[in-house]
Amino acid sequence: MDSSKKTGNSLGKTLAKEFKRNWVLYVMMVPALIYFLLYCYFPMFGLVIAFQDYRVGDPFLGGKFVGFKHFTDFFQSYYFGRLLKNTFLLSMGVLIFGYPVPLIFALLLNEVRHLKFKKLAQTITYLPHFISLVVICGLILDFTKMDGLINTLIKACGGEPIPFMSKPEWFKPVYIISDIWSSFGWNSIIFIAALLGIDQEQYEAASLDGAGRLKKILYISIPGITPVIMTTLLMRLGRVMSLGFEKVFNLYNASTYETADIISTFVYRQGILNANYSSAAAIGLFNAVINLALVMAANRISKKLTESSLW
Amino acid sequence: MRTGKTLKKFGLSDCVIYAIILLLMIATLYPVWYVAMASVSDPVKAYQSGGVLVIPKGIQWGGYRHVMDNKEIWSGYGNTIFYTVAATFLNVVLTAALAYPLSKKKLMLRKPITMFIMFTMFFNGGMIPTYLVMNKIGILNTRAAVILPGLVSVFNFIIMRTNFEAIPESLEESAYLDGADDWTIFWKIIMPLSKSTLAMMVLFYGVQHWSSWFNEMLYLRDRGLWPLALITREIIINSSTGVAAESGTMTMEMSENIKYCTIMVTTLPILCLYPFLQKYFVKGQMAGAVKG
Repeated sequence: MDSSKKTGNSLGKTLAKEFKRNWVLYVMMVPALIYFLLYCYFPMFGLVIAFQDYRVGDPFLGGKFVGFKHFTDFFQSYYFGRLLKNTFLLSMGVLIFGYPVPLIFALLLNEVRHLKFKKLAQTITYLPHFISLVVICGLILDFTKMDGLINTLIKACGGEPIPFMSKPEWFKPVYIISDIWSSFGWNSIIFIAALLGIDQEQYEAASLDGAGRLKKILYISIPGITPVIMTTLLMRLGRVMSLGFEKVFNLYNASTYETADIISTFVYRQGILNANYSSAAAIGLFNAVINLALVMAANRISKKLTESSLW
Repeated sequence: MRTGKTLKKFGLSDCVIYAIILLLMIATLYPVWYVAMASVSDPVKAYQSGGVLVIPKGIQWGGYRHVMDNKEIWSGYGNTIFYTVAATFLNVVLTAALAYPLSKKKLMLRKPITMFIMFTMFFNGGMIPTYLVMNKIGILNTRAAVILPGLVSVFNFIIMRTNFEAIPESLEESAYLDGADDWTIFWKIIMPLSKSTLAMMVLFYGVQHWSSWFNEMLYLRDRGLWPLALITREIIINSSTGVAAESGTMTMEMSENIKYCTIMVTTLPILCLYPFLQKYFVKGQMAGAVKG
């Protein structure tokens, strides 16, 4: 007791000395730290409402406690399975179909010997990254409408036009394909850089041994960037349930909820539109905990495999 | 690319590779090209020709005139410029002022404070509690509600801190010996040395604010406060062209044309700038990938 008081005191003294010596540095951080407290940590405490029956007008954090009611209600509801499935499938679809495209693109670009052409190809394929998501979604809606560009092409080939955005079975393909369009160029950056880091002498030695282009890609390029492939894949897997809200929100409508509604869009409708704050906060918390667990797992696997953590 | 001594000739496999890359380039560019062409085409003629456009059909500027006459586009532009400039300025100052102390090993509380910041990357209160907090502190439907979210991005903080860590300590030590305090060193020595990273910060934050719309939709009821992205969203996603309701004479083709023009008006500044700025963003992408 006595000694703990002593160490407490000496800790206080060291801190006081530290503050006195570096007070300028600490004061500099204050505005940013207030921001984190206000915008990031207060809402974390606000998650208490997930265990309450919070109604508009209740004093903040002063609702009636109901324990895990909102969670069990959600798990038993019709939406639970649907939301989990949609979030997972949409996210996995983007990963499975979208992941290889920038990788292959980077491997192809690596074979290009004309630097100007390579630069031009990179600049052009980076373009969608700089277009705002709202505009990209506007383009998608315009191209997929009944008399839009895609249906015009379908009709020209003798097919029947498809009302893509009101057919549930088309939501995921449209989402995934447009995602590949808008991100493959930008996502290739890391692979291009990794390929440039491969020792050029390996290629020359392989050429002398008579290895063809395909052999060189398979036995030098791909093994050379395997660590990058592993870490980016793990990072993506760790985020698989934290699919972005904004694109789905701009593309879906009541007729496609069945396949398009994901956890975050449901939270928005429940909480912001229907003012069921407590239940929406509970669903959001459920999702956040899953995300945290997945990221932690991904990081642990990455540590084991490559002896470097993701962060 | 390869520095082989023998310059190989352009073989069949090269042809295939170049063709695929060329196709991907066209596929990326065409939607944007299509919108640009459709925006200046005569909507009825463009519609009859089957929708596929390589060059404009029957040039007209009516759609652009409608967009220019739309007061909300201009108030949106004004708001976006204000939010972007004000928020970016605060972002960069706060990020630098946070990253510099945390780049110094001598700071005793460096580890716990860094943890405090990093943790927010992995866990946060989520949409609803955040909305309620914003409501509670009384900034809903004010410009502050646009500027406060994302005041410091953890990602940019890491880039900034890495930059500061790379500055040799000997520089600061000699300044200490000359009697300078931490603030003077930060302001007079460190910041001028970090100009290029600061420019990167301006770009990263700036582009983010330029196209931001979700928080604005959540927090702003008053349309007069809306940024351009949100006005654009109304027009191209919710199909409310603004003028249509008043005149009642808007044909479907015309409202389509207005959509294309709106897209061009909101996207053109970025389209013109990005080829010159992309290398900074690529750098940031790399920094984030190496240590995210």
